[in-house]
Amino acid sequence: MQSLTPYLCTSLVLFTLGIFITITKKNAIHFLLGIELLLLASLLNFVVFARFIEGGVRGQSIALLLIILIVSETLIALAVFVNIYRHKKNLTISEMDTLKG
Amino acid sequence: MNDVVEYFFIGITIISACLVALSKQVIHAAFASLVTVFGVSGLFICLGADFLGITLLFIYTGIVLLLVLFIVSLTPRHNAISFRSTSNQLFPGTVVSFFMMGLMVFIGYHTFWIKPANSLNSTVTEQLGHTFMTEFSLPFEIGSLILLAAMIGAIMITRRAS
Repeated sequence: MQSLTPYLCTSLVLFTLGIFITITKKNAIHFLLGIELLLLASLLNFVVFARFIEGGVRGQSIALLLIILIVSETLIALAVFVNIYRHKKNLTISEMDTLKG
Repeated sequence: MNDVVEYFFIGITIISACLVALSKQVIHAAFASLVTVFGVSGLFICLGADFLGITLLFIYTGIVLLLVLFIVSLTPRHNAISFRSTSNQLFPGTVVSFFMMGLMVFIGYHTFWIKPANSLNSTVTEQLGHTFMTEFSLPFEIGSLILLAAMIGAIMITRRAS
């Protein structure tokens, strides 16, 4: 299709659902899935604008770099969650309120 | 035909993202997120970004499967309640997210988009390689450094103190 509106609507829906998940969910892994939805929406926007506005390949390059950032973020977050689980024996976000574990 | 495929992928993406947001169990949400990633990578391929679509599929599938494994391994056997994912702040969350949605719809409708460019060439992967070796070489190096730092950091964080 030759219009960018359906793609933008898709990424808008993804972004809205990501914000909804990160606000409402209590489980930390579900929260992480919400953040992945947010980043997926931004990735889709980069690729869509690279296709329809720029016409080159720079947007895709930035999207690849974003994938690197997402991987690092998920890795660090999972490591932190493992440590938190060792101390507190659950992964509820609202109970992560002590600094020294 | 092409339009049908694209709308199919858009439908898959949106429906499975709704399942991620609405499912009560984390493991269902994780598998629905897998389907979301599949839909988005299909959209990437429809948009001419085939290399990016395949990369996204591989990496994200790895990530999500890793998440599912963590969910299973972090759940105590005698107590199945931490599979459940309850919600709090349901009303303010809905209000804030729909406010953001309205804001972005407003911005999108009041922006003058430039006229669409021509379609990409078929050799996107080659262009990507050239871009990473010439114009984006510094971000590429920084990205590899970030990956190295994240790997070392994750190993150091999860290491049991001996």
